Amino acid sequence: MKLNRVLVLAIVLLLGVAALGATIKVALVAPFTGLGSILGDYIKMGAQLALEEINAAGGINGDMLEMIVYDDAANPSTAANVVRRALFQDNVVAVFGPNMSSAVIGVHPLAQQAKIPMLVGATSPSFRYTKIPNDFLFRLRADDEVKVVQLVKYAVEVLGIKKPGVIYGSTDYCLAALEVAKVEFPKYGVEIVAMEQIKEGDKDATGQLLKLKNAGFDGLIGLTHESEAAVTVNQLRQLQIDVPIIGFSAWGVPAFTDLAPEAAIGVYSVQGFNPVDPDPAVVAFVDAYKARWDGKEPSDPAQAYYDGMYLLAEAIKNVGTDGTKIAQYLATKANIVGVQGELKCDEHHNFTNVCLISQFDGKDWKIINKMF
Amino acid sequence: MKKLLFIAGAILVIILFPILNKNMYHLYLMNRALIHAILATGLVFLTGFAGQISLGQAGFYAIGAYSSAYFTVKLGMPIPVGIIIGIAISVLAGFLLSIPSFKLKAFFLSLVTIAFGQIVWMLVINLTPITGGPYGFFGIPFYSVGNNMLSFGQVFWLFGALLILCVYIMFRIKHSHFGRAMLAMNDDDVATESCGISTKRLKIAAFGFAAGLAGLAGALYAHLAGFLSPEPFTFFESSNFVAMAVVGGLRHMSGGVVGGIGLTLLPEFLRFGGWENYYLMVTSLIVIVVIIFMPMGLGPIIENLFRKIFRLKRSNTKTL
Amino acid sequence: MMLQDILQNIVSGASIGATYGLVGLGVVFLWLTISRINFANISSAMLGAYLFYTFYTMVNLGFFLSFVLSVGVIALYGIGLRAFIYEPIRKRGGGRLEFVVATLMLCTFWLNLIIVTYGALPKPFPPVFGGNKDFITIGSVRIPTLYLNIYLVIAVLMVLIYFILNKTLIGKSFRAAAQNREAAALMGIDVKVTTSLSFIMATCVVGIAGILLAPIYFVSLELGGGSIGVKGFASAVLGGLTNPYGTILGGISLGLLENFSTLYISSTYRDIISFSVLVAVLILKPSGIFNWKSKKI
Repeated sequence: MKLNRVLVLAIVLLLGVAALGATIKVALVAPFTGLGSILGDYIKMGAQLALEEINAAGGINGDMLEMIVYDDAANPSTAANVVRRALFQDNVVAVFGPNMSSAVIGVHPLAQQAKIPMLVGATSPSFRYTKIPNDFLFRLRADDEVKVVQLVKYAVEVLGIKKPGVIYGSTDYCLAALEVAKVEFPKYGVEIVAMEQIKEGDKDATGQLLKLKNAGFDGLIGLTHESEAAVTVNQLRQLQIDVPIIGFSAWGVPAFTDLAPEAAIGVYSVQGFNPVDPDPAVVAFVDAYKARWDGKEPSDPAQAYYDGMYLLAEAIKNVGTDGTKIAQYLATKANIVGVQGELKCDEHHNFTNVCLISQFDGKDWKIINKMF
Repeated sequence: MKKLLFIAGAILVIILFPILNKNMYHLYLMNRALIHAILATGLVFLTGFAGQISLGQAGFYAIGAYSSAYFTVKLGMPIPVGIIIGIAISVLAGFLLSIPSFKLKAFFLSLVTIAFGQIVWMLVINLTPITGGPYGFFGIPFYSVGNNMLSFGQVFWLFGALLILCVYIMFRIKHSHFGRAMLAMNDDDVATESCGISTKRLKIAAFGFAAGLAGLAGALYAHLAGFLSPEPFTFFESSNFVAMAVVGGLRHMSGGVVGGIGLTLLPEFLRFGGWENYYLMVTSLIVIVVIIFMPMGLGPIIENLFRKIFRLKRSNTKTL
Repeated sequence: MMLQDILQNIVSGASIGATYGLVGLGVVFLWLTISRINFANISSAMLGAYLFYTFYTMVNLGFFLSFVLSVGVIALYGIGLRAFIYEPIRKRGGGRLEFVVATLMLCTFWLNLIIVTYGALPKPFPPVFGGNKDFITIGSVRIPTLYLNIYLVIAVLMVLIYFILNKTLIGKSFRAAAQNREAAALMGIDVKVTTSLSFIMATCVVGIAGILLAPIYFVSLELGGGSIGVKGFASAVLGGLTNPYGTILGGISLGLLENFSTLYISSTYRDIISFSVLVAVLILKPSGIFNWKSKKI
């Protein structure tokens, strides 16, 4: 008896949902657990915000977007599990993420195999379309080559650094940036005088900084993650080594400056996103984000996934939910204005090359230069 | 007779699963589960039978994976050769790691194994020319016969056969003179030595066997996933492997199989939309509860269940 | 390399190392009484830091009250650890390995509980032990006030531990229970109380370490799952697992070894060097190098 009632209820519910219009399922693969998980919440909140806005405005041709969130624990091996789940079990029409470059290079063949577009915020130049020609893989942010080229240019031309000393981390993110820096500095006739590594989780950079000092460096190039950036600048100040500091994108976010609010004053960074950017699209995004998420401020890469959701919606609106058609549309026709400016797929399958050079003033990042 | 029935049942399940289930995600997951089962079986042997602890199995897993990847990709060897080389290097490392166990016991030994795992892991990160380091190692060939790539289902049959083979070898060792000496060593090191049995030789063999299975598991994983990165080889994974062996049951032939498959699938079952932060927390809690309330592990419980289903009489099958 | 740089390196290496030693103390206290290793030892440090952060920064209770409350909660956690993990496993016939795996999983559990409740972003720690720019200068070597505070707390803890272990009944019952559980019980020593006490001491000392470490490590997950846990074990091993003072010394030498490998060899291979040294010590001198009186505590 009871079972029947449950069955009837279930059928009624199912019919009710069906009557409201179909849902379009998309997947979001991001890190939420483990030590490397600080970006997961930004990614999820950025994507979720765009999705809710799109649905509130009537969905896509009347169909509602639904997002399934998967944790990849910042581990490519776990990403290989959950991307398969998204593609082959949950049958999503598009996958956002992973946000980690080695994971992207590991799992992108699955997108090709399933003919489902994969839109990622990972930034390593090593999977540019010109290097890995996957028609289903797209990037929603400026890649690291773009950013490091700008960083080096600014360090040499404006800051006048002649003997750069590099401190770098041990992940692919840091090492890929280091490779670009090694190529770029000599183009200005500048040699890197010393390169020292600080491992993720290390809390003492004295040895590394002393070595840089003894090599006679006149500017610090920081290519590490957020916590190690904080450790490095704190100890640089303690040792009273007075050199200009310019850091990579992880040196330009609150996750770093919150940990070293005083020591970070004066640090330059090349950023992908700046929440105090006066650009009206950025202001609107930051306001909407804060209103939706209890006053929390967005940080890179929230804006990338926000833009990505709108790009996908645009594609589905025009060509429907077929993965191949979406990918073709994204590659050739999609052109919208998002938080990161005009979004259009280039020959690297990057939608944007926007980056900013900013300086920390103790509260905000003051924009010095914005490049598209 | 009963044993035959068990093995026949296991073979039947392995044959039927890919025929009944074509879901690529399920098959991939089951393949990973079988790999973990092979590795955990090695740990059951090392810890449950020979009484030695290893919290560094991820190190052997890495050695197997990266060796096979290196020899097939960089030196163009066929996959089976790569896997065998992976096992061989792993076994050698296992012999090496058994040396401290002559002198050290329990906790001290576990620290050496942790240090071993960490050292291998850091070598994986830093030996970029060989391992690809943090960038990862890509383009590892998938299983194929001639020019035909195997399907996930066929790979599942292959892994299943290898798992059964590993368990069978362990079964034979256990019931040999060698295995009985090992169990004796597990009970009392000194007494065994005084019976004229060289415990050193036993320890070398036990570490070598467990390392070999971990190396095999690693090599199988490398060719299944098609790419490697340092993240799956951390201390965290080593502790997961030990948890598999303990949850499955350290003193049972089926312990590694039950624990390896169970703990691979459990977190995947616990992934619910909107609760993506919680699955590891719940998994760890479940493992703690199992360890507290079923210190013998799930293996014997599941064995009993099978016995009831097949209406087998209880007899001397206590430890199969 | 100038002498000043070497001295500077000694100061920071020894300070980071001393914190490894503090974490190692938690290992020693449990080993002394129950001969078990709690692999969730380091979780107490993370819990201590997050609790203090909650009471001090989020609830605004002031330093003293926040500190006492945090340590109090950690002490309760220590009791819970004995009652809900250690005793049930022991009663059902679980051995050392079962305890090891249970505590390993406990470590994962706490990490994920913190992620679920506080999020994964590291949080800045209030500068209650001195800010980033506070330091004193001796000669040309700068010692941050924070490090001085760490040394001060360690000194106080050492005196306290010496007093508890050598001058009180607790210390005697510790040693008795460590030598022979049954005999100790027969002699009228309440083994239950002794075990509880050792759990409390182990979790509290690591909890306090966590609060002290938070300005260096931030209020972050690294306090509960990074390499510091393993290095804490290593310090305890260098002290032979039974000598609290040797453990602190072991930690300091580990910190110095790390910093000097960075300075003279390579920051890339630093951890490989320190782990290799650990293995060598374990094999060549398993009773620890900083364990001058292993019989008497």
